Amino acid sequence: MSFVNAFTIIFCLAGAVFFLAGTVGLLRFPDIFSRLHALTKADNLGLGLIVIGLLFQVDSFSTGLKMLFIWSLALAAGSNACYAIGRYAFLRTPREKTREASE
Amino acid sequence: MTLLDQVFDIVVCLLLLVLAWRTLSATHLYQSAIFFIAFGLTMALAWVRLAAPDVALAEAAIGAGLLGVLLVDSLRVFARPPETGRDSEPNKPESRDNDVTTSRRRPQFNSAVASVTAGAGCLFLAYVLVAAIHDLPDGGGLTAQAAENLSRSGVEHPVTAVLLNFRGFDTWLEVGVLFLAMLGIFCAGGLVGFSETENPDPPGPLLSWLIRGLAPVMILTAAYLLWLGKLAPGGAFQAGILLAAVGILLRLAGIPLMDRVPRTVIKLGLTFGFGTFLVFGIIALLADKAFLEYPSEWAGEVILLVEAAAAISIGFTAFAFFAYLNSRDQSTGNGDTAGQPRETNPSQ
Repeated sequence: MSFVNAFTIIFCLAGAVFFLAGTVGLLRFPDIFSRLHALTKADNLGLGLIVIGLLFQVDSFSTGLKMLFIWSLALAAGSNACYAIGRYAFLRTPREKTREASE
Repeated sequence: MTLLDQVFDIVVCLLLLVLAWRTLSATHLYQSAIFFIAFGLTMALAWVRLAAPDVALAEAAIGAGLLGVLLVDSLRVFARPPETGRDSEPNKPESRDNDVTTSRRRPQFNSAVASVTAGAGCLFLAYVLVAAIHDLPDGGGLTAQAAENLSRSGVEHPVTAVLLNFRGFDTWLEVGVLFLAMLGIFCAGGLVGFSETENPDPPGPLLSWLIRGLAPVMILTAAYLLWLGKLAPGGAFQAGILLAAVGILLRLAGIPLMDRVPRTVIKLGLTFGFGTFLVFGIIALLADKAFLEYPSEWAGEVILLVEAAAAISIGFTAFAFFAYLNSRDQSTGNGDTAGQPRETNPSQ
């Protein structure tokens, strides 16, 4: 059992690291696109790793399935929100400025 | 309660205070709206910590989700200065945000009397709240009685038993308040169908793809929440807001599904919950029972029916709030839509 717990701790800590990095990135990165990049890493990988970590503690199959389902929903919603914000920002920024930022 | 729990609770409390302050003090109204959403989510967390997941679900769905959408959408409508509307040049997107949404000048009380009165009012309200907490009964009030009669209520979840059976009258009136609010909005703009959506700025293919995939899942989740209310946190309000969210997303994605709903169905949907409560209440009265007293052998089924009806009504009402604001936005016209006059004016 302690072996399984170790897996949980490792994965959850890894997830927490991604959340921390995502938050720092959101606060520190210079423009909206790199901030979105940081934010979606926290959402997708951070939540995913925590879900994987918690899967070791699940006692029934359906609970685990629900958790994976929640993760996939968060993936879909997160990437869409990122796309929507990014697209809005991209359309609002004058073209030359965007090209500068991407170079 | 461990030390870690206490630290977490204190952090949540402080965060709530900070977010409340930032909501009030933000110079840009758009910022205020975003802070308000964050406040709602933190509030939901606080309700979870208070072991009230039902309230947490409702707070997250209504306080953070629906109200957030309504606030941001209202800002979109009112941010547009009326005088630079149709005739003048299309506004640059940068200049649009700077007008009404910015409140750099703090609200100023024009006299010392006004500020003293407002301050005294706030102090009195704070005193009443603290006194109310102090006066809470020690034994948990009616908790014991509710737990005793839980087996006769037709459901296993105590919150649903209280909301839909023991205090069904309150819930009925709550649905009535929503109905009244909706009537008020329609009085301001006339009872219209959900006007046709012609999104001037289509959100791109991804959102439309997402909502096509998610809408069935969300409707299924709403039904699940409704059914779950029988034995676990969930119920009509949470399910109803989820249904409204489906409608809002469909509209935002430019999928004109809700526009096809005929007016009769809209009217029926808006009154369905209130009416179903009323019908069962009158049936109970005719059977020489108290208003909204359900026969105990059928109570579970009746509660499910009433809850389903309430959820549908709440969904329709919440969506109507949004659709009304949204159609107003499009009919007012501005730089984006000035070229194409809208025929779906809400006052028609």
